[in-house]
Amino acid sequence: MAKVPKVFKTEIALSLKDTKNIAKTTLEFHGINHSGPSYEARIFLNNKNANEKTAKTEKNGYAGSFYIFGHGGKCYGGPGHCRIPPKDIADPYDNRRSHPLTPTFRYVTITKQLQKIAKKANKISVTVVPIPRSYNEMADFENLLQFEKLSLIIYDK
Amino acid sequence: MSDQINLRKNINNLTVDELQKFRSAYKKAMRLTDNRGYAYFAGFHGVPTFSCWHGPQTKDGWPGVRLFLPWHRAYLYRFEKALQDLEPGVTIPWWDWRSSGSSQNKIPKAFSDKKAGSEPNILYKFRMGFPEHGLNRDTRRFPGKGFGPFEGLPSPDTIQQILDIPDNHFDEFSDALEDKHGFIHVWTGGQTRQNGRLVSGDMSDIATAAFDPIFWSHHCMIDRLWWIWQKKNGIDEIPDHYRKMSLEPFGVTTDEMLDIYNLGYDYAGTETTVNGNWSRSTNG
Repeated sequence: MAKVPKVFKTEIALSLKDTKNIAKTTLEFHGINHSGPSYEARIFLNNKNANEKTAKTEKNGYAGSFYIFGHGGKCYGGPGHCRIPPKDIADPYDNRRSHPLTPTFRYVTITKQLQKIAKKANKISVTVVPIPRSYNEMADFENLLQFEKLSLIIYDK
Repeated sequence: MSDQINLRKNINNLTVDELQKFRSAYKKAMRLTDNRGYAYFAGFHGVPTFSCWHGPQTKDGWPGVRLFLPWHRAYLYRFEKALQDLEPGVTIPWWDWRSSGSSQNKIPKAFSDKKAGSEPNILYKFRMGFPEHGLNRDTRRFPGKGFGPFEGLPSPDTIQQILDIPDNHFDEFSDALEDKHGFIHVWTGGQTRQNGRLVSGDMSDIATAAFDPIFWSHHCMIDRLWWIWQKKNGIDEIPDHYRKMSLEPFGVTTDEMLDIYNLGYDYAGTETTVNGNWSRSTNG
């Protein structure tokens, strides 16, 4: 049986004086590894205990999900086929696209949730629960959710 | 501009003859093992070619390029052309996974029925023949089944919110639609337990998705939604630097994929056109 995927937890400081001035707020996940199995990432705000059994309700702090349509976690090529180059070279004469496994990006809009939270607190906790949506025996399910950076973006009106 | 415009229709609205023609095209393509065949085209997406475009990528020195929509439009166009070589005039119908019918029945009967009349339904599965990659079996799907409860298929309102993303926000529109597309993939593939082992459906992974015959109709729906957004916001509403980018391995540019009338197809809708009382050909 596959291991339970690790849940990601963090806190982000808020420095908002006027929540009425918020036009839109997004949580942006940069550098997502999508070489593994497909999965759903459920985002819960101010619920550090959220797990795969937590219902996706407003009461539980559920703010939305993103879906990763993954490559499966099994390399179908020869040695090195799935090795991601450390960085893309910005060469205008090299018209090849970047490696198909180049880390990807997703965002979830949390405008209403943040407006509510920011009135009472100066920080926000973010819990990301990965739910596997495909399976193969060779995949690393424990580390299903991997990304390089998480940004909270607040757009002013 | 193409001389003839072929209409792509909702799979549930195909006439008996149209569905038969669609099945016939797939059947002929699935029998071919050369570069006109089903496996050849399915192989561009995942195994063995892995040419598909998802998410932001770097291209021609530009970071964060979203060619998910134009790449898949070119992909469907080429596949549809290959089908038309085998069955003239046939088009790929879309699967409207927003409809209440989809929520209730999960997958349109045209794809979920194991038999079509007295014969096996060609749209139900396809034999993947890649023993060197451990893929030598029929495609499978377990729609809506998973480790945890799956949420329902997206409501029309949810999709409308994406269609309401304003012009000059192509990247945002593309990302939002791609995310829903990913959900439909994993929902359609699903997971189950067989003989004590967990198995997942082939639509759930990039490597195998295009071998499932429903893949093309799912992407037809995605392409249709992009076209609806284009008609509202401008057919060439896309970042300028994307337009000259090539869509490998199809040998076309993004620019060439923007106007579907140039590609010779349109989506059936509510527009009704009737003949007038004059034709230029009769004008002496």
